Amino acid sequence: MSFSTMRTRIAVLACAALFVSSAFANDDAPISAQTLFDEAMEASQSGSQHEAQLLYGKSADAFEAEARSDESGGRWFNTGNARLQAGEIGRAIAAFLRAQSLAPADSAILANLDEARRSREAITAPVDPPGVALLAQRWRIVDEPTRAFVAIAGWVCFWCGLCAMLLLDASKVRARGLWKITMTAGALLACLAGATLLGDRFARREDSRAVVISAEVLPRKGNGDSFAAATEAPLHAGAECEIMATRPNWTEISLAGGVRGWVPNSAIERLW
Amino acid sequence: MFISSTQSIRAARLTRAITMLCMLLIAAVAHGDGISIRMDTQQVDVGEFVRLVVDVEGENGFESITEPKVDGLLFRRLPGQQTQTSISIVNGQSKKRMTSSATFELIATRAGSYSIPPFVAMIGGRAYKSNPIPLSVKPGNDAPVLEVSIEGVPSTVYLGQKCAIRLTISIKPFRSREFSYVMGEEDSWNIIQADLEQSELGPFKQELLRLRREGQRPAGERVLVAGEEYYRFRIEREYEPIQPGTPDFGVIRIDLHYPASLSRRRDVFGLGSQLQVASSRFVSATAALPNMTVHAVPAAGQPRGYAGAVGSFTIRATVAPTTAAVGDPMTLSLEIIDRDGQADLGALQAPDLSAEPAFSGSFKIPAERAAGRVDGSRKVFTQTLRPLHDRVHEIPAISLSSFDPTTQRFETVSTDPIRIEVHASEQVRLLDDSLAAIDASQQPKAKVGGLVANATAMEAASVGSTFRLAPWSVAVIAIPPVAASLLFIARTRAQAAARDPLRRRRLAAAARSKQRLDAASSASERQAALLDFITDRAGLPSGALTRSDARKVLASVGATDAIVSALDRALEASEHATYGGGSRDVDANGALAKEALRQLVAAKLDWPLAQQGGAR
Repeated sequence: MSFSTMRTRIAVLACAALFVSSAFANDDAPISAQTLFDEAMEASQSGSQHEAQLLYGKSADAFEAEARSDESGGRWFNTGNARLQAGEIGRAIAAFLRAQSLAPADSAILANLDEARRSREAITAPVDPPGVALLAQRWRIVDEPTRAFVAIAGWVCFWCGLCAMLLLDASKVRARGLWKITMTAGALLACLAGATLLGDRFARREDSRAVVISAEVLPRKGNGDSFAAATEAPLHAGAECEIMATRPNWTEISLAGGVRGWVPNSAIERLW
Repeated sequence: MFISSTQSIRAARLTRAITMLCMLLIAAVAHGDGISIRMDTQQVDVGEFVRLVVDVEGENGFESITEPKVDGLLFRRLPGQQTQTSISIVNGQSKKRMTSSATFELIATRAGSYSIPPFVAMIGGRAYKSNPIPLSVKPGNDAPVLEVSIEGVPSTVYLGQKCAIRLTISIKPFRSREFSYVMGEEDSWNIIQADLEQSELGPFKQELLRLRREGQRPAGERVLVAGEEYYRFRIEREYEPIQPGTPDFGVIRIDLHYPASLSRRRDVFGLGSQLQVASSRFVSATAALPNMTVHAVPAAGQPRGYAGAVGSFTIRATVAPTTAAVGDPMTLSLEIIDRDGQADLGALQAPDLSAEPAFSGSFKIPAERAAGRVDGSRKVFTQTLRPLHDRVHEIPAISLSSFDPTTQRFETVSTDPIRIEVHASEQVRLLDDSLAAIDASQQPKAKVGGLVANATAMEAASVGSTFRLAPWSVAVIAIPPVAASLLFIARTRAQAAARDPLRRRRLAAAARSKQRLDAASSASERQAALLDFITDRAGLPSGALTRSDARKVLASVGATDAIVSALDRALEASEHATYGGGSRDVDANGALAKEALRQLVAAKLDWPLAQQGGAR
């Protein structure tokens, strides 16, 4: 077999393999969340409300999967939009609250969160996040990657300054002074930015907010249906609350006014 | 075991008696060409029921059974037929026998001595007759031993009114003059519940079976009816009438076996005895139509918006929040309290606010009525209202009309109006088209068409994005400290080298000398390797030491005599071999030299001259 013949065969085989793999790839490729969302909007405009709701639900699931794998406020925002359109007010508010935690200054997130809150069956005051989460909202004006970049840059500056100090002769006072300033500033930046990143993790762990996702749930005074009702009226989907304690299948929640009650775990969704 | 003669005679008599009894029993069962009759008792009072069972044996059961006609006795065949099948194998041949039973109720209408004529059963086209049975009917007491009745509580109710039905079972306590015994309340109830499965209990079945299952019983009341003593048991349950008239609960019948005679039974130790029912008779009582009348609520005089509520109520309303923007939800809680406990709260409906003009023009009201929750004597409805404009200043009074069965009049109760504050929303959201039409006169401050659009893929990834530790970032974080550490080590080593130029030579001395000893092929090379170790360690010029110099150097650095001797022996052997003029090399394999080196390396000697870097 000549070299040119072999090369031709390899090329043909490679093309065939590429074609087959692309065909399989097309079959398996998931439809993007935004495509589903667009299809749902089309279905809604053409009057197929039932189909639209189903598609909105699917797109919400896809958006949420994206948000959970690579978290961002924007992805949670899109999840909230899709959930709200699918009629899942509780889950929509939970998604918008997550988005707001990650991007507290974003006006679109705040507007849609407000819209979702107004769509609820009944108004319940929102629950304030814990102090550390409120503090975190201040520094989250600068997004996490930027703060991480600053922290890493400060870290590198600190070590570079240290290396320079090791290398430079003691007689070069001015140069050593400059490097000393670089090292100190780097250390300061790295500590500050690193602390905010750690603070984000801590704030999320401390944030025990949840949202009612059942259409209607009556809080009980204990962890069982046999206990008396804890509130006059049932809570509706979208009511924001704070988790106080958990037992198998039941969670004790606290509303903004301090009213406490137990609800089934399936009736609420925790933010984090 | 010893058995006395008297006992053996008694045992023989007992055996004979049992054998005769068995033979009689076999004869009785076999008698009548496959048809036999069982009766609860053969002595009854006029008006009492007796249960009579006709058993027909054959290979395929019977085709029909005809009861006899007797003046003074009434037969009624009960529905159903019981069948038992047995297969016996004798000498390898199987034989199938089927016993079919039909049950009759017999009631005597006249006193006297009767002989019940044969029942006729058709089996395989042939007629079989039972034997006649004697029956003695006494005039007896006119008062029945068992009575059953149903009544409504109250007896007159209106549709929508809470009520109950009550089953009353009255049973005459059994008396035995022979034993001076009067049956108590508990035993009387036990007689009733023993045959509950056979009874027709209608809506009370679950409750009666539950009582029996849980070992409970209703409290029996001792009453006198027309001079006769009875135990009266009452079972009550809630009832929701659904149509006017007298409710029909179907047949409600209590069947039981009432004692006819008692006997005394001794316990196995012969220490005590107790009475037991020796014979019983079947007694049955059926309830008449219930003493209850259900009326429809009068159509005349019904207030507008009347939704079928029956009872006497108080109504209260609360709303939260009391301040809201146009279009925002406000939760209205309506609490309706049943004042006299007559209302069927489960069926009570909330007032239809959407039908009230005062509400429909001012609030957006959900199309579905609130479901409500019953809590004791009150029912709470919660409903969401959304103010349509900012001119709404109150939740208007809410009225509930009801029919009071006590006064038999309609009455209307109302809530007080509730002050609310509605302000124009900065972002007025159009709830739906109907709201837009209603609120057309209003000029909203702004109009927002719902949600803000989705973020694009790029925006979604960037807005509020989170940081994840990527491999490049790990490298960027790790490299600077590593580099600095390496730099620090290099610098430290360089500084150490500057302070002690012979340091490297001294540190490498042991390895180098060991290597040279291993490779040495002559005594002079071994000698040089040993002496060079000392010069390297002491920082002296190479080849500058003699054997005696080496001893002095070692002595000066604190070497022990053993080490000095070992070195001296090795060097002496090398010198002899080198300068001995052909004499034999005693350390040809270098063992002495290696041992001397090992001791020198192992010993912790102070090399002051070497640290100063100068020669001695």
